[in-house]
Amino acid sequence: MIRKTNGSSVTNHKMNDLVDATIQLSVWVLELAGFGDRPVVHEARELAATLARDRNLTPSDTEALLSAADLFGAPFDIDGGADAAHVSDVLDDGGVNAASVAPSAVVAKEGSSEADGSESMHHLLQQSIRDFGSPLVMLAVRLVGYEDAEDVVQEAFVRLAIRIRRKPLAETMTPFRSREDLWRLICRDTACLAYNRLRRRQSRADDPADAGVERLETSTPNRRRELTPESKQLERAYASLPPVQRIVHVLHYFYGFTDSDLEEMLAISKSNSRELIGRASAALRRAFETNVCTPKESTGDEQPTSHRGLTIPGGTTEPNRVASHENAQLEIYDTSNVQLLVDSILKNRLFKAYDEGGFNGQEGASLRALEANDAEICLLIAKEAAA
Amino acid sequence: MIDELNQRYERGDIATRFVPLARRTIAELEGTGAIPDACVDSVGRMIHALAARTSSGVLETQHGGEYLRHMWQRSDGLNRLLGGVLELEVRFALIELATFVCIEHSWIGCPPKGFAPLRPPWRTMIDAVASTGMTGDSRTQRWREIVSDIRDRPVEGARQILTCALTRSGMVDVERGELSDDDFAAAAGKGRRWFNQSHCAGVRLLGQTFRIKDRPSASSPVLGVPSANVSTNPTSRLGGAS
Repeated sequence: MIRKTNGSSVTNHKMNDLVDATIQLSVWVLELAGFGDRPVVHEARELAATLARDRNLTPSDTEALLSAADLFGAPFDIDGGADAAHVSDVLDDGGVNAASVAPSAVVAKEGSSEADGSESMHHLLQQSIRDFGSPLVMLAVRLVGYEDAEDVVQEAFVRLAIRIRRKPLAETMTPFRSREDLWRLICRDTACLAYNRLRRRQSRADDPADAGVERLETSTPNRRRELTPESKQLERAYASLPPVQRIVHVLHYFYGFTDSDLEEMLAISKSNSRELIGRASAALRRAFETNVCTPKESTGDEQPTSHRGLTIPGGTTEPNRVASHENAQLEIYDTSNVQLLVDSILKNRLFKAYDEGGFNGQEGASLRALEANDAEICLLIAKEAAA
Repeated sequence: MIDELNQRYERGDIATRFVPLARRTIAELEGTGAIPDACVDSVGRMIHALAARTSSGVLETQHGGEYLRHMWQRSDGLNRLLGGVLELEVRFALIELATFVCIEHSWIGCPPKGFAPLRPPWRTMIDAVASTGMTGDSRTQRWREIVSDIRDRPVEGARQILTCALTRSGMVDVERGELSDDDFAAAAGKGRRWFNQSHCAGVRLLGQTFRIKDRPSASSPVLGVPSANVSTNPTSRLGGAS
């Protein structure tokens, strides 16, 4: 950042820093409050101190930010001078259930003030799983198909768990400047893991290009029944794409990641990502049209124009992206199936594994090694994209 | 006194009969002998805006009392959430701004129609507040700048909580009385708990930003060097806090 020598510019600049930090802090505190039995004010002050350090705030601004931490955190925290009843009073129309507004206060009253850091981390992870589990499974299904989606999601959350466990809370929260940042981080992990899966799958000589669909059809009859012919065709078309094209295309069209996001997440240049998306779109259109025209794909009860409901985008323009996103979301996978997966995998298997220390094997790997692994995968993706 | 406010007022009677009555009512609620003129002006402007919604241009029965109740309750809520750091007229200005936008966009009195635009991407409410053409006093202008400023920062979560804060501050149904938490939550497309928490966070963010923006700067020829204790001594700015 360039500091101007002009007095008023410097002041405005610092004021902007303070406003930015305050905005960030308020969002973080809200996230913290959602995590249940946590000492919100204390942690908010830690976050404020970290923010002030990062942004080189002046002592008076730091003090202002710390007082903001008190202000933001107090109503959620019994130790901060407010309780659930107070929060209820504050919400002025009387129809608010105090316990539902300030769970931290209620839990603290019940004597869980000794909740240590690891418990807080546990809740942070649980909250993340609750918030992102369902969409992440959806993403994984689109990236690698149903067969491997469960494992990919689980591995992504294991990575998150290790991140959360290995760093102090303030440091852990640093990359999570907003929910979108956290979501982007998990998507990045999932994309890297999916890339590994797709590469492994591709390297198996006996694996046909549409193996994912075949396995899906044989192993999960309920899901097969609910997939439309268009969905199957699209899935086949996706399965025929090179891994990196599939990942970039899915992230862009289904989840709205821009070329800048992809550059940051996957270490590929903007022009490269646009090129990949263009190539993938063209390949998808070709594959989809071929599938539609193949006589064996016709079930007889299809409407002649049924494939028109799915718009395979031909370019990277915004209207195309939106249309494709909406159509594909409506058509490709049924959300009840995803919910099924979330229920069975995340709530039972993952929580159980976490509670019973099932991550011990993974904990051996250091965060540094994990990040190095990510970097390596990103490098591979970048190389493949460049080629 | 509320009964009198709930009467039907012709346009010409608003300034001569309703506003003086509203002044006395607020002073009574506030527990002081007199309240700042800015507060009364704020109420007057909104009552005129409410009356302008009707075809005959009159303030309908019940509307005056209901609006004043809304104004007072929201102001009281803001005051408690912010620990009494903002003056009464400043709080009134925020409520006036948010309510004016709801009136302007017909997000008042007809929740189903009005609530739909408040769903994500969250910008609808904030954009409307930031770009409204209302002509209030300098305080409403300040709030508008702050809302606009937060809108332009690259933190999506901030826009969400700001929307919740503005929604609760501005949304009132003068026809059927107070809106419930569930109504507000429906407006945000989220659960009640999420909405309430976000509302609290949004109000505190607004209040804190207002105070930051209100700090004397080094460039000010009048105020001189920034004071280090502006933010740590909020009671020094206490106005009519209850």
